[in-house]
Amino acid sequence: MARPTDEQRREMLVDMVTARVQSQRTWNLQRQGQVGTMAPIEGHEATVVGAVHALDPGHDWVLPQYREPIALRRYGPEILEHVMLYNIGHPAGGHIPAPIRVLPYQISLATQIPHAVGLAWGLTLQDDPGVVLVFFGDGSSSEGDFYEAGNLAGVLGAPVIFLCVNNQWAISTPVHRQTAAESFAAKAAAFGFPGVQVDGNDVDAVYDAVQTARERALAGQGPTLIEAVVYRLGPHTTADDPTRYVPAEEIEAAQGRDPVLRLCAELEEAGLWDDAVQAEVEAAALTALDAAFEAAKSTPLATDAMLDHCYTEDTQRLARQRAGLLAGAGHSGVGPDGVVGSHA
Amino acid sequence: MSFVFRLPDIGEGLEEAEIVEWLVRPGDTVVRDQVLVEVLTDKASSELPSPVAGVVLALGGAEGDRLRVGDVLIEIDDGSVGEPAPPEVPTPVVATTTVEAATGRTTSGNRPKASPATRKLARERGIDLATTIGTGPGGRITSADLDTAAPTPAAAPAPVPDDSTLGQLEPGRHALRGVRGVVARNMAQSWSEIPHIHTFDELDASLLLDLRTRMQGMGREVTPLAVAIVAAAGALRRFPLVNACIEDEEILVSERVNLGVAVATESGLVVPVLEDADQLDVFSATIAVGELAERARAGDLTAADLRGATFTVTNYGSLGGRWATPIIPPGQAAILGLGRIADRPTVVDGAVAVRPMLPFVFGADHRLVDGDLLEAFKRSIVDDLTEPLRLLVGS
Repeated sequence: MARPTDEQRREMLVDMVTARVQSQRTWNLQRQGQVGTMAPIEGHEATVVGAVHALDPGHDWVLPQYREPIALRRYGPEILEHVMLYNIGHPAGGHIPAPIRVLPYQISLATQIPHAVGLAWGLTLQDDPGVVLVFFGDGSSSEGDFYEAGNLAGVLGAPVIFLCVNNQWAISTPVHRQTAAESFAAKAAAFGFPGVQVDGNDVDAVYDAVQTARERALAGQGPTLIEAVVYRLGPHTTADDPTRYVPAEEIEAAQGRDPVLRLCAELEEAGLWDDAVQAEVEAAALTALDAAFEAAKSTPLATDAMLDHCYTEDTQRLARQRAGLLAGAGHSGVGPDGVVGSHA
Repeated sequence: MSFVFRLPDIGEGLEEAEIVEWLVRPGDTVVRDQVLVEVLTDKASSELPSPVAGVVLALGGAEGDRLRVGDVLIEIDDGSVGEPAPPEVPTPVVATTTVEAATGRTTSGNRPKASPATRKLARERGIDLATTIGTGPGGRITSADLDTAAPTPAAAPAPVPDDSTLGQLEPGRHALRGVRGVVARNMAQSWSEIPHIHTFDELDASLLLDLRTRMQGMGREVTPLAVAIVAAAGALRRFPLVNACIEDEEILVSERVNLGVAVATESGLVVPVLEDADQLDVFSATIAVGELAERARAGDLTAADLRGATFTVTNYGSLGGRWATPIIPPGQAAILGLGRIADRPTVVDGAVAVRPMLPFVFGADHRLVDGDLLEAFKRSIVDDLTEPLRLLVGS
């Protein structure tokens, strides 16, 4: 069993507390009308942080969905600025520059899973000694993309780790309405590779499972599906009201298993953490978030930025629209056929 | 100079919100991320934290006012000059306030619902929130409720409502808000959208009362209301079109049979929901209804308890009524009203006899329910209530 060292566990707690504080502050920014819809991290910290701490940021790729990016501090503190760019709707938030091996936010459910398999296959073809870890939720596991990607990964033996974060709710759909399978981990049987279920509130267990999966992948033994069992402690997003559907006794029980409080207690007992450290980490997290938010807001935004990154070279229609936008003519994006921004 | 905080779109495409409760007053000093106000939108009630630190200059509306997105919510003197811009603020105390904000928005068990500021006030005054009746949305306790609350836990109030508290309001204009505001909007929506039809009848409740008495003799509790609920649930299973509603030009037939049971409480009429009532027998229904009513009167209902009804039963007879024309709640197709059982003359085998008669009314949405279905549904209930053994032997 791969156990993280004391120093690693302490670093992981720093990342977990930081993610929670920054997520809560971003929630407040949304309630103040300063950022758009966001998905809070509460309850998922140990899974995300434990997983990425078992990876090598120099070689391994991380493909988040939409809840994880704020907890990817290990991959570079500059990720936070991209998180804030994304939150204010700046197109630059959709691109995390090299050499950071993290792909941007994915809102369309499960589409990052086939991306992960393609990326992993590509690493093998290029003799790049890295693995790919992809996060997705219990809800995403019902998408066709999951099954297609899982199947292909099994056939190819691609170095990919499928990390299903089972937080019991796909917005308001409970797990028992999501699948009749015994577990999400059990679905790996159909793909021909191992599936393991871990307590996603136990950062050591997540670390160990990802470490083992990574070693398998690097040894050419193919993919692993990991199901991390957690409980979503907050609303799905800022646009959700879980009091309409989450049973009060369930959330109360889940709060007793809070992953951040759990690791805090363990490290306090080991003499590695105290209130002063906690306060210091929280203050640093807020300072970092404020700086990232300011940097994001002062990032220039060209009028025609929304047309960048569609094609390597503008198509004729795109060029016409770009010229129209820059000339300040609001209606010039509409072509002769009245279609706006068609892909034809 | 001041920072003007305008009502943001905190949902996705929100147009307006109601101010439920101000947690600050002009002159108060606030820190960044301190909760200023609780607002109620179509989606949920939300706490809005301050974007800046400073001193509150003016509030953009009174409690109960509805503001449109973009309207001025509050003005705060943050020491800035000129046009308001998202300012630089030192962050020392924020760690605690963010944690508080987060605690405020997560569901926390069966704790009475109240904002952090109200909780603080309650602690200061030594008031137990568990025994305080909330008049805010979803039974939420507001700081105004604390004014009427006793500082020490009071003895359990008598379940029979006291007339002296009814209809009490000072002359003058009052904001239509809180529970009354929600009731007003729902009733107006029902009245304008649903073409009601009602059918009235009386049934002989001799066997129903007999069942109750004989069961009591065996130490089992069965109430006529619970029997009516089980009978109605059975009828809803037989006639799914009554367990339905019209939504966006479509008929939406519910899979589950969830009965709203109207309960009069000190803070107004509430309708907690008995989920999957078709799975209950008369005994379990009696217990479940008793518990719901108890929690309703104790102010212990959560928002989840009040949602998802597919049909409503109102026992206006408990208030002494004989006939009524109850209004169907939005999102439902029908309602059953029960009057007070009383001895009345009726004809039995060609002779006038005195029997305990139960007057009742069945109301339905005439867009979905024609007269024949209305009467068939009514007959089904009458058959079960006049011979409740039908429900005991099962279907």
